[in-house]
Amino acid sequence: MARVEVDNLDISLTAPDGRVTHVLGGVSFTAEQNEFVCIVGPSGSGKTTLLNILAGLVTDYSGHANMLGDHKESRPTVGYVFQTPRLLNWRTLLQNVTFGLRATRVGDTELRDLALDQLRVVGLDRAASHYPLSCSEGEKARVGIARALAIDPDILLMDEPYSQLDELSARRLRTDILRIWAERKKLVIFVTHNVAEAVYLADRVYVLSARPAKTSAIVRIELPRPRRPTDPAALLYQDRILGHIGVDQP
Amino acid sequence: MRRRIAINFTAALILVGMWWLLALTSPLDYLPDPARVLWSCVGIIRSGEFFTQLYRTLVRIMAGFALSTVISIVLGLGIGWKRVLDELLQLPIVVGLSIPALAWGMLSIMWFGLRDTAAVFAITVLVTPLVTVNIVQGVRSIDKSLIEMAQAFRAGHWLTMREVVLPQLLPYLLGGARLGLSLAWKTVVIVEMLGLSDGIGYMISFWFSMFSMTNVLAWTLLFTGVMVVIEYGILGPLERRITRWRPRAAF
Repeated sequence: MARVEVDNLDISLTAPDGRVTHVLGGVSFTAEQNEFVCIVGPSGSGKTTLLNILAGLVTDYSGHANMLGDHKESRPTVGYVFQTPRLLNWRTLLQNVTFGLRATRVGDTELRDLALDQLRVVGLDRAASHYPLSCSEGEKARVGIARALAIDPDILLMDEPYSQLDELSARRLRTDILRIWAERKKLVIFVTHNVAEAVYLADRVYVLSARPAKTSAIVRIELPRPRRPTDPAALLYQDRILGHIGVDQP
Repeated sequence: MRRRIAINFTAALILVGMWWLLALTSPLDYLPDPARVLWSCVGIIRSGEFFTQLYRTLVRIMAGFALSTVISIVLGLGIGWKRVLDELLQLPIVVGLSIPALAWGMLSIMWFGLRDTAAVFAITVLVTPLVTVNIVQGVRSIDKSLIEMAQAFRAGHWLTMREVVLPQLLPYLLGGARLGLSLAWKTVVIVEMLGLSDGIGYMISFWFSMFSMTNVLAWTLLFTGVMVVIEYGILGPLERRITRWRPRAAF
């Protein structure tokens, strides 16, 4: 069980040159166990910062960002899939997947099996001994996902993980992640600027405004799964979300 | 691999050929021909003299080199990560890089006397700034997003160091080792010439005072041989091993 409660999150970031940017100006949202939540917003609206706060990489914010686990004390485990894969190029795909595991727990033999399982889930078990630099972008993205899944996280954070990919690979990976999510029942928080992607994936979509970002709308997507990206009802949802973001409709 | 050996062999052959031609055309004893130098190399090796002197020199080089490597890693990490140290040490390093080996050699002999310590000290102070600069570059080029990744997965300091930081530093460490070794060799020869009574540098300087060009060349050649062995036998394979993950350009 896991639950995320974000309340009135506010943060300003200081660039190396000393410029201060007010990134989040009171973002609130909640996400429940088994829920697929997408966060959309214009570029530079602080979506990545939001995930970094949830992952514990950024701490000097005000407001609340609570991740609740089973018990009051236990902090749920968090898997993070970054915008770029962020793989260790000097380690094989298998070793990259074990990295997250080694940081958290388990002995060496179990490690290998768990990591191989995850590579199988993303269809890369045969490439386990390859090095990242000899892989395609799509393959690297899948390794990034396998690494996050390997630690069996309660909460999976995904930061535009498919934005660097061609549309065909992205489509495949979207169906993959939905399948994994359905099987493993994770809480997924998926950041994207692609409205169609959000409507295809999410139970609920939180719309952020431009900087300093606030939650400007919550849209519940009541479409049965499996969804079709070209479903007319999906297009209506997309229009609604775009309206909230403030993109002019023709 | 085969092709590379063939090319290196050809290059060596051309060099020796040119040397021979030069020796043949030069008047009298300006340049002894390769056969004579080679013959005296054989003599030096067979008498056991070479290994005795090589041992003396290598001990000095390795001691100084190891010392400066350790200091450089500490300084390099400090400068790369802490801004204060960077600003504080910038001038000393520039100064350190520009002081000639000869000056340091003389100073260390005056300070430490005609002993191994003088050579080790001279090597350490000369090599350290050079290797440090290399390591600082390595530290600066470390991909911060990967450290963030490690943090997100709650990797400890040790795991992050071993899996994320060190692999990114290794090429720079190796580059530093190459530069460091060659400078250490040049330095030790100077110190041995100036004040010590054994080692390869001393032998070269001894034969210089006897005005025996053949022996000067033979000793130089022999030591160069050792450096080539270190490069192709140790550093090269090491580099190939640690960069295995990089796809090799086909050529």
